[in-house]
Amino acid sequence: MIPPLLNSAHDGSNGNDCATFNTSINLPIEIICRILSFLPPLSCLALKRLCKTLDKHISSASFAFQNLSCILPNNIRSRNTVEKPFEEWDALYFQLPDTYQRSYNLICWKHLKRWVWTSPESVEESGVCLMTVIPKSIGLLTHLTHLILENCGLVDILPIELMHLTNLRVLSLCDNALTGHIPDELGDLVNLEKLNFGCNSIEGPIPATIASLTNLTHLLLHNNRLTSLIPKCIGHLVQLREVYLYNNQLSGRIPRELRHLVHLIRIHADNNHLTGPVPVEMIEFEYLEECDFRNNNGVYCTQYFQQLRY
Amino acid sequence: MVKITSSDNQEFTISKEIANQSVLIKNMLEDVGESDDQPIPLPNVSGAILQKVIEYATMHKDDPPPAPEDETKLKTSEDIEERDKEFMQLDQGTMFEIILAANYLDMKNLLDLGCKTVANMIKGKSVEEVRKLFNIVNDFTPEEEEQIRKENEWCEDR
Repeated sequence: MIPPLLNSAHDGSNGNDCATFNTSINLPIEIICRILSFLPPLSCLALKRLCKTLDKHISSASFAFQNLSCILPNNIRSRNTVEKPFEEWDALYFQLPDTYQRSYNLICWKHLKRWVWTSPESVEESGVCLMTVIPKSIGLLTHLTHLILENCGLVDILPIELMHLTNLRVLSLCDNALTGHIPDELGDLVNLEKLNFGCNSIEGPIPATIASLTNLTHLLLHNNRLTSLIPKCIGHLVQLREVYLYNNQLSGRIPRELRHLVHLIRIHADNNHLTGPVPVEMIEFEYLEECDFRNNNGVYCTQYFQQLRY
Repeated sequence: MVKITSSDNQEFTISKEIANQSVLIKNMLEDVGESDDQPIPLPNVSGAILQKVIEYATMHKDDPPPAPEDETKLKTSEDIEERDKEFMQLDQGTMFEIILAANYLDMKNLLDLGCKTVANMIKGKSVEEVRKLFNIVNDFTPEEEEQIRKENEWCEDR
């Protein structure tokens, strides 16, 4: 037998309740937890202050797993894709404790390949405000090929755990309020084709490790607070079609290596502190439609580029 | 037929298919073999509660294997059959004793039924009321409790 949680000290002290059953039976903690796991997670979390033992149990990973297993319908399990918040829990994912996020990953998103939320509207429908951080447990969703969380009200620093998602082909977190630096580990995402961190508050340099992202076609880092040089190794990324670096604080000379990016269609690096000439070879680029280096410190380019601006 | 005796020495004779709904009894029967007609002692369950448990097992003895669950519905503690709801219309003490018996006898369906029923009782109750229901002593200092309350403010009142 499992020992009772707390022995009632006043057992039988009520001598006058004759025929009625004794209602001061104490259920073992395991059974109380089993009862609670039939309640929605938020109700469980609110009951953490029942007592210390239950606080400990409800905070545990096994309780989170048991709770979600009891409550989640089958059709949201083992999905490959979440195109919009499927139901309340998808949106809640961000706010639940780490134990729940991990269990949710295991139960619902173990094989998740595409996660695409592009506006807060569908989230608002479920009455949940998403304004919060990208959870560290996101690093467990290693099957992801598309992670697109645009305009979702995400705040706080870009978590390094994102860089565990080495199958990613598209990573777009634009139009949020993310801060912090771009981790050097970005270079681990070797399958990346499109990277969009545009319209956030990301600081620091563009890491030189982007040199390993040889499949990259879109590098969109505009409207941030990026500083330092455009790394020379950008010249390795010969698949690049679109490069948006505008409205940052990038400085130094425009790397001559840009001349290798022969597939470029658009490059916008206006409103920075760049100097030096735009590599003259770019005039020859067959597909180039837009090339904008305006509002920099001392960029001069040929007449040809000036025509290309718009 | 199988004989079982309760903690207060009441003897019940039940059919094997009813007995087998308890994984505990089923395992015991497998251990002792078919020929043994010694009653199985169940020292943790009183006669009154055992009577209710047998009533439940008899009610469910012809149940088909569980139907595939509804794919779209959020599972809630409200998914309880009408006859089970009626069965569970008991005072709290009996209900808790049945839950303990189901746990001891290893009868998952009855245990879940009991747990869901109690979960429904908790809904809408304050933390203090839930403490009273389970006889839980609040061992937090007022400061600690306030701290936890603040941490979980966002998930209360829903």
